[in-house]
Amino acid sequence: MLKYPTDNSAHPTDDQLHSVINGYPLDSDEIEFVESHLETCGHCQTRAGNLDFDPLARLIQKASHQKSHETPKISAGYELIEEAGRGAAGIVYEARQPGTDRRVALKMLVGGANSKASDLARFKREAQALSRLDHPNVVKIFDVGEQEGVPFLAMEWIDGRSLAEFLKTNTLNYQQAATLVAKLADGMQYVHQQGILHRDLKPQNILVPASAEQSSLKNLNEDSHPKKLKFKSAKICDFGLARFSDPGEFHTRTGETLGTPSYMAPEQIGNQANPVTEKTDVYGLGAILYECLTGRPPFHGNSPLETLKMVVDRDPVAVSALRPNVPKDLEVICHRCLAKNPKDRFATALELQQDLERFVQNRPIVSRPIPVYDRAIRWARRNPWPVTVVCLLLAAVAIVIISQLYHSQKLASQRDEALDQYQASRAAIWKMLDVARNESDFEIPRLQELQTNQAAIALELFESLAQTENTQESLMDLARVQMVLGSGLVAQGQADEGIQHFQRCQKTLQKLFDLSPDNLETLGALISSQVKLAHTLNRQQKTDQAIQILQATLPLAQRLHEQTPDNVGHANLVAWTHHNLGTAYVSANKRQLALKEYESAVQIRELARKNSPDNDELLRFLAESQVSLAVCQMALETGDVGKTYLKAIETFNEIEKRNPDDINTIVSKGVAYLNYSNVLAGKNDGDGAIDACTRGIVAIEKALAANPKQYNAKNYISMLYGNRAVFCSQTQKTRQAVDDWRSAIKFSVVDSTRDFCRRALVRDLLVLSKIDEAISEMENFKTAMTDHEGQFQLATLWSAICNARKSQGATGTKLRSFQETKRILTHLSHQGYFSKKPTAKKSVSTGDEFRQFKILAGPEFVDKL
Amino acid sequence: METNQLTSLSLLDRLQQPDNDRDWEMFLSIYRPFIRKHLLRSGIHQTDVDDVLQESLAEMLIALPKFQHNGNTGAFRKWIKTIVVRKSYRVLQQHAKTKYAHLQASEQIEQFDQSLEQMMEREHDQHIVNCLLKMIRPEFTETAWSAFELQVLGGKKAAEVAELLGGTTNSVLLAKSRVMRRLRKLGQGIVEC
Repeated sequence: MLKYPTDNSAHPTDDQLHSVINGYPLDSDEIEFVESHLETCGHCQTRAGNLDFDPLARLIQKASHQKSHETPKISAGYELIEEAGRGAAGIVYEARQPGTDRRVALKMLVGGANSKASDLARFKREAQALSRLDHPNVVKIFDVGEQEGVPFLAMEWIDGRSLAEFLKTNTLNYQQAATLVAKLADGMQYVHQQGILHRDLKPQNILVPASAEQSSLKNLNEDSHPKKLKFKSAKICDFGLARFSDPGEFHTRTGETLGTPSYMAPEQIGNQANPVTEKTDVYGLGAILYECLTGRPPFHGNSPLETLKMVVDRDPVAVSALRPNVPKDLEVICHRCLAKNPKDRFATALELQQDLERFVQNRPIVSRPIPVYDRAIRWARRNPWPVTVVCLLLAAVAIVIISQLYHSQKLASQRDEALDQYQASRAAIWKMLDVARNESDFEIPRLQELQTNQAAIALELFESLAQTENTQESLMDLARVQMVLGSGLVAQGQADEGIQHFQRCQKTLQKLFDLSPDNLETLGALISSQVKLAHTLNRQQKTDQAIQILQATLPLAQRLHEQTPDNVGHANLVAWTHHNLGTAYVSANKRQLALKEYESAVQIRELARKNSPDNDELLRFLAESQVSLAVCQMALETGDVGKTYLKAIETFNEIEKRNPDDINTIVSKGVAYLNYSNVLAGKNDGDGAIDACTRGIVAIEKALAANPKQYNAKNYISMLYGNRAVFCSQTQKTRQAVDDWRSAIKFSVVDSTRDFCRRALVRDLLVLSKIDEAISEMENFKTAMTDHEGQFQLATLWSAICNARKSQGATGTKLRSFQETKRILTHLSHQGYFSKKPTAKKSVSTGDEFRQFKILAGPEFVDKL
Repeated sequence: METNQLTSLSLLDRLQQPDNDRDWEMFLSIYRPFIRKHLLRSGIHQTDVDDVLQESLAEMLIALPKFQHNGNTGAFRKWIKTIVVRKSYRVLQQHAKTKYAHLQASEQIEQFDQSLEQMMEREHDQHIVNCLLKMIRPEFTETAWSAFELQVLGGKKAAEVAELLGGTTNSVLLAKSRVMRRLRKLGQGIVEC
C-alpha cells in the first residue's frame, strides 16, 4: 500500500478528522466519507492518532479520576472467615481485609440494624474519631461503615481471650493485676486526652492477647493448656459504642440474658448531680482491678435492679475481706477508684497509673485510705434514689417478660398468664409513662434512653393488643404510649420520628373520639397530643403547620373548658393551647397575634389559680405565660411591661415559698429581674433598675450555690452584674460599678461579653484615677480582640490612660500608654484600616480621647495614618 | 416510542417525550444523589434536605418539557440550580434566623446560590458524564469499549491500542468515534463540551 495516494481522492481536513473521531455531529455523508477513507489510508490513520485532545475526552478523563476518589480506601467487601462470637453488641466475625493478608475482627452491630440515617451518621462520626486512636493498649479500629443498613467496625484481630473469660477460671497475682490495670490506665489517659470517654469499662471489654507460639493450641482444650497471655499488652475495646449496640442496657436483641450493671459508676445511673467524666472511667478501671484481685465484680445482686441499688447505696466488700493477704496499698488504690463521689477518686487515669506503678516498684503510694462506710452513707442521703428510676426498672423487667411470653404464644394458657401479668404491671407501666409529663426529667440522658426503649417495647405489645382487643382501654393505652415514645424521640433529637408517632397517636385518639365523642378524657388526651405535635413542629421550623393545628385545636379545648369550668386541668389545657399558639405566632413574626394569645393564656391561668391556689404546676405555667407576655409587650412597646414582670416575679416567689430548692424557678426569677431591670432603666428609674439587678443576683447566687457549674446561671448572673455595673456607672456609683464589672467578667461565659465588660471596667477605673489597675486590666486583653475593630478600641483605651497620666502630672513619649497607642495605630495603619474607616481616623485627629496622644505624637503622625 | 428512534435523540429530548418513565427514572437516579450531596454540603439541615430534594425533583419533572436550551454554555446546569435554589429559599429563610444570624436573609441566599453554582461547575459535568457512560456501555462490545477507554482514559495512541487488542488501527479509531458520538448525542444540552 502506498503511503501517499496518488489518485484524486482528497484527504479529510484536520477539522473533519477531529470532528469524526471525537464524535461531533456532522452530516452522515461527511462521516461516511471520512470513515471509509480511514479504512484504507494509513497516513490519515496516523494523523487521526495524533490529534489534539478533545475537551470532552479531557472531561471523561477527569471524571474517571473523580470516580476513583469516591471509592473508599477499604471497601465493605471483607472476606468473612468464621464467626468468632456473639456479644451484647452484635456478632463478631474473623475476617480478612480484601487485597491484604491482614486479619480483622469485623463487628456487625446488629442492634443498630434498623437505625435511621442520622443514627448511622452519628455512629460513623464517633467511630471515625475512635479510628484515630493509636495506643498499644487500645484496640485499633481500621474501618467503619455500613453494610445494608447494619453498621460495622473493622478492628485489629487479637488472638487471645477477654479478661472476663480468663478470670472465670484463673486469678492474677498482685503484681500482674497492678501492672495490667496500670497499662489500661495508660491507655485510658491517652484516650481521655483525645477527648473521648469509654463509659463502659468492664472485664468483658478488655482483650488480652496470647503470645504467638501458643495460638496454635487454640483448638485444644483451653483449660488444660493455659495460654501464655501477654497482660502488658491488654487492650481496651468497645468504646461507648454500647449506645449504638443496643439502647436497652438490660435487654438485648440477640437473645441473651439480661446484662449486668455491676461495673457502672453511680453517676451513670440516672443521678444527675454528677456528670459522666473521665472519673467515670477511673471507676471502671477500679472495678476491673477489683475483679482481678477478688474474682468477682464490686457489686453483684440477685437482679439488675438490686445491683443498681447496691452501686448507689452500698460500699463494696473490702478486698481484704475476700483476699486476706492483699497488700494494703493495692487495696487502698482499688477502693479509691470505687469512691461514690467522683471527687474522691483519682482525678485522672494518669494518677491511677502512677500510684499503681509506685506500688509495683514498692514505693509508697500517694492515696490515703478512705473511711469505708462513712462517705457512702452521707452520699446516699444527699441523693435519694429517684422513684422514677425504680419504676422504670420494674417496668423494664416486667415488659421484657411480658412481651416474651406474649409473643411466644405456645399455649393459650401462657397467653392468658401473660395478660394477667400485664394487668398486674400496668401500675408500674403507667407510673413510668407518667414521667413523660414532666419534661425536665428528660435531661437525664441515660434515663431518657432507657425510657424510650421501654416505650418502644411497650408499643409493640400495645399495638398487638389493640388489634386483638380493640377496646377503649387498649386504644387509650396505645395512644398514651405513642405519645410517650414521640416525646422521647423528640427529646433525643429524632424529631421526624417523634412527629410520626405523634401523628399516629392523633389517629388513635381520633378513633377513640369517634367511638365515644362525649368522653372527656379522650378529648383531653386528643388536645394534649395535638399541642405536643404542634410544639414539636414549631421547634422543627414547621411553624405554619403548627399554627394550623393549634388553631384547629383551640375550639376543642375551649369546648372542653366550657363543659367543665371548675376543672383546673382543662382550664390549663386551653391556656396551654393559647400559649403555644402565641409561641408559634412569635416564630412566624406575628407578634400582635401572639400578644393576644399570651394575654388569654395568662388570664385563664390567673382565673384557675383562684380556684386552686396551691397548685404549683399551674403556677409554673402561669409564670411562663406571664414572662412570655412581658417579652411580647416589650417587643411591641405596648402595655405595662414592668407590671407584667412584677406579676411574674410575684408568681415565682410564691412557688419558691413552697419549693425552696426548685432551681429552675429561682433561675427564672433571676432572669425576670434581669429583664425587669432593663424596663426600669428605659423609664429612667436608675435606682429601681439597680435594685432589680440586686434581687436577681441574689436569686441566681442561690442557684449557683446548689450547682456551681450551671452554664445558664453563670451567663445570667454575669449579665445581671453587667447591667448593674452600667446603671451604677450612669449614676456615679463608680466604685460599685468597678466591683460589678469584675464580677461580670468572672462569671462571663461569652468572650465578647467579657471584652465589653473589661473595656467598661478600664474606663471606670480611669474615672476613679486607678491608673495602675487600669493598666493591669489592659494586660488581660492580650489574647482577645485580635480583629481590627477590637484593636482600635484597645488603642482608644490606651490613649485614655495616656490622658489620665497627664492629669496626674506624668507625661512624655516614654509612657507605656503612649507607646502602646502608637504601636497599635501604626499597625492598623499598615493594614489599611484607616483608609477603610475614615471615621476612625477622624476620632484620632479630633477626638478628646486622643488629645494627649496627639500632642505627644505630633501632627505628622496623625496625618500619615 | 421505538427504541431505534429513541437512540437518535439526546437524553433531554427523550425526557421531553410524554410518558417516558424509564428515562425519567434514570434521570432522577442521576440527579437525586447529586443534588442531595450538594444540599447537605451547603449546610442545609438534614431534616429539610429530603423535603427540598423532593420538591426540586418534582419541579424538574413538571418544568423540563418546557425547557429550551438557549445555546449558552451551562444553561442546563443553571436551570437545575435555579430550581434548587428556589426550593431552598424557604428553608434558608428560616435558617437565616438561626445559623446565619449575622447575615441578612438575602445575603444568605446569595451565598447559597454562589456556592451551589461553584460546586455544580466543578462537579456536575463529571458526574453526569460518568452516568451517561454507564448508560451507553451496553451498546458496545467489550473490545470496542476497551479501545475507547485505552485511548481516552489511558491516553494511548491508536496504533498502540490496536496492537494491544489485536485489531486494526482503523477499527480502534472507529470505536472511539462511535462511543464519543453516542455520548455527545445523549448528553446534548446537559453536558457542555
